[in-house]
Amino acid sequence: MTLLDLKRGEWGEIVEVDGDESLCIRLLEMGFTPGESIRYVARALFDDPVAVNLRGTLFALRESEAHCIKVSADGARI
Amino acid sequence: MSNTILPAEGLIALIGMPNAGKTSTFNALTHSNFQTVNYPGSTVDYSVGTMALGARELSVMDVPGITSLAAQSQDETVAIQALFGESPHGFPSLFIALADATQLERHLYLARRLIVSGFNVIVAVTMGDILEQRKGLILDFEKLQEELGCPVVPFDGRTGAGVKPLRREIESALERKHTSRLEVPARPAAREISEHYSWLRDLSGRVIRPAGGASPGTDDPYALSKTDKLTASLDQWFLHPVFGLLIFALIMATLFTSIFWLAQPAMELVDRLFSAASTWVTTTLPDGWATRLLADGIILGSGAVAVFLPQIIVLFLILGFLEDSGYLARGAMIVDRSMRMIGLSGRSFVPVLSGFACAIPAMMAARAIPSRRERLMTVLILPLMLCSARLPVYGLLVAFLTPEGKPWIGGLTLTGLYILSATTGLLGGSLIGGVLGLKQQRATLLLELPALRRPKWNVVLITTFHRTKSYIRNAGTAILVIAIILWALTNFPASKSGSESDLLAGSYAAQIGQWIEPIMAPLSLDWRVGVAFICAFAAREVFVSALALVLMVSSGDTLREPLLLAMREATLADGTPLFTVATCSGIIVYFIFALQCMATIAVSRKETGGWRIPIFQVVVYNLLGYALAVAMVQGLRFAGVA
Repeated sequence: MTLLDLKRGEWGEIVEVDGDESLCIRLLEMGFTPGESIRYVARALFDDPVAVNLRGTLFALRESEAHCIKVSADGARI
Repeated sequence: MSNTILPAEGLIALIGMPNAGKTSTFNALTHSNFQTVNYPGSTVDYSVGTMALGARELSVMDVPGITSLAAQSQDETVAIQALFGESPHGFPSLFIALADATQLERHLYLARRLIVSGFNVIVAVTMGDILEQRKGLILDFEKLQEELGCPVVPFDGRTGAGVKPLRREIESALERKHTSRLEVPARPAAREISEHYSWLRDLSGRVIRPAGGASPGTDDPYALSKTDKLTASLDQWFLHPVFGLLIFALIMATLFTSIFWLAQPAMELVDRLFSAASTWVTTTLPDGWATRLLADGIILGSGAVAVFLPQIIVLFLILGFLEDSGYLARGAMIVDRSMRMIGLSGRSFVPVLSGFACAIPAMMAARAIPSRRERLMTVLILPLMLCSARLPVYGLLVAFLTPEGKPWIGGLTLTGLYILSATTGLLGGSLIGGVLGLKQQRATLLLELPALRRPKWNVVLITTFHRTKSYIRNAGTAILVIAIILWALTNFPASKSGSESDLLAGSYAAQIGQWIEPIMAPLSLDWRVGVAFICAFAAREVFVSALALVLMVSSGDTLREPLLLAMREATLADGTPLFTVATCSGIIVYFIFALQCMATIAVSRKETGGWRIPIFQVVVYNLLGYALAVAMVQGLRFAGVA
């Protein structure tokens, strides 16, 4: 499942980053690495962009960017 | 191009992710004693300042926009090259890596890459206070220093606290000699990046602990990951799909009304000051063309533009607040979708917004856009935004067209013009961007949303001051030159009678106006409006005063009649009214597109690093404005509207 499949407010764990190569390197360098916890915080109108919480920092990602981030759902809601 | 560079003495480079506090550190070290330099042959701007340390004078370099050492675009390649020694300043002997304490892992990533590659690094950690206040956690600096293997100094960008220890560390760090050749770190593989981050994750677990003094490692596995309460609760509204949009619209509406309402008294004051100065010069100094050049050309000419300074300052102030509070990034997120349609992103939001006050600070704001194509596109479409200089022109024409007793029609029309301006700007931008090959295939957003916080007055005021100074310097020269040229054109040849209107009627400007009359004909206008159009090239609002002057001529009146009355009575050579719904609409349409502002062209050249875009803007926008104005006038006439 991708980041976009998480429910709002739900935490997930990044499994891998898969997609366009330079985009993936950029995402990884920004900290979206496997094993990190990520949370789907909010969405703009039409679900694009979305706001996510990674390591305590909020990011706005386009749908195409969020699509690259594959996660597994932790299930914990905070 | 070799990757190995020899170190040279005397250069310190700052590196860090956006929002880490790099700019404030730079300012604190250089005492704002710096210059922004354009890297030759490109559009990368970097700042180099000087810092006195003991008997030495060191250079401090800040290359903005570097978030990774692996360049992915031409812009980034150039920036990284500048940072690693391929600039005239040589190779840095020391890197100061900025890290935000509330985002330690992500920010230390860059620092760690440099340390592991053998560079001389000092880590300056900012926002330690926010970490403590908002999350109840503190950072063990000594342990961090030990683990990282390099000096770590706390620094507060907003107050400047910590600059002395930082300077001491810089001094001792510079004493360490490097004998080995240093290479720019190679582009990392995915696994390498993950390994860095695993190490950093462990590290933060060891150096960050709850403020209460409990041992590191907490019960809540998400403790470090939660955003602070203030940001979280405000973002429930700001980032809500519907309410967020409404709040955004409300904030924008407030911004606009403030620009035009708050600034009014100050604008009138500036107007009166310059008029008084001009009168004083005329009455005090001996009569002659030099005096008139000073009084009318220079003072009134620069006054016509200075009158907009209050608006520019209000814009900078409000934008500064929104920026310091962290809200602007959220605004960028909200508009990203619309911007994407024309190949831009939410990052162009601030420049486009500023363009509604004046295109010049907007073009300067576009420098913050990391992608070169997006930056050029933004600068390209900015002149299409309804800037405040157009307002007096629209104000006059809309007032002329508004029926008696129905002022709300006028208000509605003006609002409509704003919306039209935004729409044409964005649509036009899309078309033009496509034509010029500026559209980006793989544009990204990847925007960080900073924590929300109460803005600090002094930070905002200082930023506003610097930006205003920049604006005056950039716009001022061009405007002054044009004002003087136009003064000469409208005041020579000298007229025998003393009247102002006669002088204008016989001037070179009027002769040019008559010469271009054939061009005015399809618009159903004559040489008088032509003169006003020419004068608008100094500053758009001069159109109004030029029109006032020129209409007195033909009515043969020496009395100062209100301009609207003069407009109603003005006729073409064949007796039909000069100003009608059709012709006024034509003038409005022309002003929507036309680029008359020479200062904008000058700034456009500077910000885009060449003449290609400014020339395109002048030629295409003026032709487009003319063509559409003609279409408007003829179309309305065809439809039976006078």
